[in-house]
Amino acid sequence: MKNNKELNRDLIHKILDGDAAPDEQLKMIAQVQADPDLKEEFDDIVGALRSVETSERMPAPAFFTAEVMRRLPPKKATIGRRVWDFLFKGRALKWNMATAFATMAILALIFTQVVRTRNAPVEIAVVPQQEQVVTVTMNLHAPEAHHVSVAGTFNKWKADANVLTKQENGIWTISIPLKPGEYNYMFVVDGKAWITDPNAETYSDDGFGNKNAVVRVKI
Amino acid sequence: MAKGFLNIIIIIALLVTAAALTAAPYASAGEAGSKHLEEARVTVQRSSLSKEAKAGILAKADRAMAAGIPAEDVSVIITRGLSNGIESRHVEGLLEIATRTKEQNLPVRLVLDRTEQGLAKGVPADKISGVTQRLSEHLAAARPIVNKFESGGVRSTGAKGSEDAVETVARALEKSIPRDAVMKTGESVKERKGSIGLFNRAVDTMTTFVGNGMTTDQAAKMVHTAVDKGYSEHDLEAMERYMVNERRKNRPMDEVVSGMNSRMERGEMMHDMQMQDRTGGGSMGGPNSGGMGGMGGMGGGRR
Repeated sequence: MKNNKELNRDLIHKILDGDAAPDEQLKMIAQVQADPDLKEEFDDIVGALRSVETSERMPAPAFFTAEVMRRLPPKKATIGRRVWDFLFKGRALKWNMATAFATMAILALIFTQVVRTRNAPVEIAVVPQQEQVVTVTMNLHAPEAHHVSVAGTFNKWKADANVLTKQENGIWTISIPLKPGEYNYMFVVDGKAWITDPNAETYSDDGFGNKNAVVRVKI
Repeated sequence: MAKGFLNIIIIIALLVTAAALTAAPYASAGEAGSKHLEEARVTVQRSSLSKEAKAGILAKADRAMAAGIPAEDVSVIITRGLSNGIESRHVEGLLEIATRTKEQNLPVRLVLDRTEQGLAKGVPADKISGVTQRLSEHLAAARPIVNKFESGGVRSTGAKGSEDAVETVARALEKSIPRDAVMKTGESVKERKGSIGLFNRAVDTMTTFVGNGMTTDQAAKMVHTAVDKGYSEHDLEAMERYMVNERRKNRPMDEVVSGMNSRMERGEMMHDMQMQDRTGGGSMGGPNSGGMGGMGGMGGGRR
């Protein structure tokens, strides 16, 4: 239940807003004239209104709209939109020293790797893919032998790596795939006697007083 | 705080990834190397050597590998040496010679091959040491000779060709072929605008001749004449085969030399001579000849 003062205040606002009927305006004027307190309040409001009307209007700052929009609750984007934004939306990267050092370290590693690969010897840099080989057959006539193998530069002189097979005519034979190059070799008979191939292409001193057989493999 | 920690984790992950990517191509080689080294370590640990001797060999092995000697070769020398009953100091000595050769940036393959070969054939360790030490010195002497011709106009055939030539010159010096004879061969190749490959082949042929009983003078004169006449690497190889084949027929070396000289004077190329001999019933060995002699022989085919 509003009292008289509150009713009068409502009527004042109504008059100032231009919403009051003519009889309400006359009634209010009479009451204002009769009540000093009401008149003082009425004058204050009228003064404030005039002050607002006569004061300079400040333009809104440029960022006002953007700031308002920013403060609005965000609209939930679709997954597709978010992926698109992630991939193509421009963004500013923020750097710090740790990230910069890490990036420099990675670039230095990659650079070092490239330089090392370029300067590496062929045997390290090139991975042979199905390098051509020539199958070389070696034979030794040794009907009395029980075991014959061949050792040479192609197997680091391992006496048990390449064992020959005996044929009925007493000839021991083996076929070895070799890459192009020159190889020295000897037969090892019964695990102890080192025999030079009597029918080798050519021979080379082994440095210890014997002769190695030499085979030159070419494509 | 949490964000900073996450950044550190991401940076570490990036670094680890980059390191893994750069190391990947070498992973398989390293794996093979460590396998051989492990074999050598096991052999050393299982041997009856003293603790100090074991440590000494393993230290030499580490140094050899650090110098760039393949782990497989280090492993072969150690395992073969110890299984032959060679004293640890000799095994260390053999590794030391190879390591020093490699550290001088010389081709070490010949030294390793000679060491492994000597051990396989049961040659006494001190003899292997002497031979490989001299070989290493010859390699050091051979390097400037090859460098001189490579920088002086003899066409290079790459790092491999250069290393092959250094090894060949070292083997020539080992056979007591005078340095002057080698230098003269290089000059002839240079005048012909030949490659280091031709120089390599010429010196190798000269060494083969000497190794098969020709005098140094005869061998040098014949090879120089051949190079001056424009013989190719193929011709020089054919000369070697011709000489070996004639010797197999028990012809005296002087007769072989005079026969080759007279053919060269007639301007015949050696591979032509070889063809004539073959069609005339002569037999030649060789990987592609498919021949097989009475006692043994070689045949071959491409794959």
